[in-house]
Amino acid sequence: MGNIFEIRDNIEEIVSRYETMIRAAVRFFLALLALSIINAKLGYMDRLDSTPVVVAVAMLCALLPAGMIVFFSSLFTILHSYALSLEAAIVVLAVFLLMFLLYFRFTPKDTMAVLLTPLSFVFGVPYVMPVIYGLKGSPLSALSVGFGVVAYYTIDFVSEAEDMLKSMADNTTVERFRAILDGVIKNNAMIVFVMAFAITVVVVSIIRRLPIPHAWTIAIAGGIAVDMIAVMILSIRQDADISIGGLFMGSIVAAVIAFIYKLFVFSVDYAKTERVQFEDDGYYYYVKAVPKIRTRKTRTRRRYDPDDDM
Amino acid sequence: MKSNIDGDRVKLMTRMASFEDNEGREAIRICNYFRSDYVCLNVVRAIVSATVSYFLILALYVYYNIDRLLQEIYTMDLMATGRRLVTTYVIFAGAFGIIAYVVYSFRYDWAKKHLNDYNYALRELLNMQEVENNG
Repeated sequence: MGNIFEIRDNIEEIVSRYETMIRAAVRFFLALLALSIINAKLGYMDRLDSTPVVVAVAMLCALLPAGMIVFFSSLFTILHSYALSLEAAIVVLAVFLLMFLLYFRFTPKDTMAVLLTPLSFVFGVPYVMPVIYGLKGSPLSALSVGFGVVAYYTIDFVSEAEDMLKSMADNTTVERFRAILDGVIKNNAMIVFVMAFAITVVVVSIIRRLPIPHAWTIAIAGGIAVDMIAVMILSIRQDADISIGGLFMGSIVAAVIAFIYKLFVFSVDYAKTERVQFEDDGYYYYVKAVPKIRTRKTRTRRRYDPDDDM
Repeated sequence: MKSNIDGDRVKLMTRMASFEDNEGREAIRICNYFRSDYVCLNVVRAIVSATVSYFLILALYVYYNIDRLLQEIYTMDLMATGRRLVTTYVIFAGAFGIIAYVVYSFRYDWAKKHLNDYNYALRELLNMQEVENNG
């Protein structure tokens, strides 16, 4: 365990030293990953489905605020849908517009959930999202994760709609539009995940605020358990096709990721390095304020404090 | 060699500069408005968003059910339908307006509190400078 703390301390030191560069690199790789996955899953528009375009947009995202990754990912999804059919583009545009107009305009900080939740589905670890958002957010984050699930299933449906639309070539535009909207809205698996994740976010968020020892640990374990039970019950009720084996394996992986996340983000007095500039009558000041990182020795000497668990 | 730089003042100025670079930027932007202006502006924006969303949902509903609606349009009570649409719009936009009012009122109070702390630090800094000039 001591080694883990040492590794963590070393990583934090490196992160705090090169924070600006690391943040830009994270934004770049996140954009690269998201756009590449969208191209791989949809890929209907040849102009977008090219490495130079993806790299150029990812580089742009590295320089812009993180929210722009969500914007470009949404734009890629809408353009690919348009290349597939106008009806698909209208449905996807409507879904994204409603999400941003009705909810994310109030909580712009949670917008990343629309990007990270679909990515977690692609990597087979969707169960980690409600736990992480329950830990870092508020019960309202249930809506953010829910919209992320809707975004994933919308993209997933459009990615498999090509054959359906080909078979409906002789049908009217309205019939094709109806088939796409039905496919997006009447998806039992999506409904199960939206409801189960909402319950999990609320449970995790409430437990981690309780003034009890190891509240964060109990919140993760309780959240994973609630999530599994909710998914099982709701999938039976909704008659949704959800793999129980995948649920167990995904939940174990989600628990491991959530504990690693807690170790790195919540177990220390983490605060970013600040670089500030100011002046008074006599001097210009270029100050770099580096946060004090708590070492293992000071941690073991301290008595129990409920805040330790945060 | 003794430095001419006052450590306490640098710490205070660093905290203030850090505030200006982070949450202070948002707090200062919010407090540029009067409370009523800030809240009203955002309530109006929320109602505009709700209006666009409502008509978007309505357009999707009409297009989805276009065949049935075209068949029923001659037998439909258009006045009652119109009243129902206006009522649902008023409830929808009104609910959003109320949510926006609560959210942005809280946000303004948060910004005001942080800016008050910042102003207190500013006064402390001026006092330090005054003491230094007099001493």
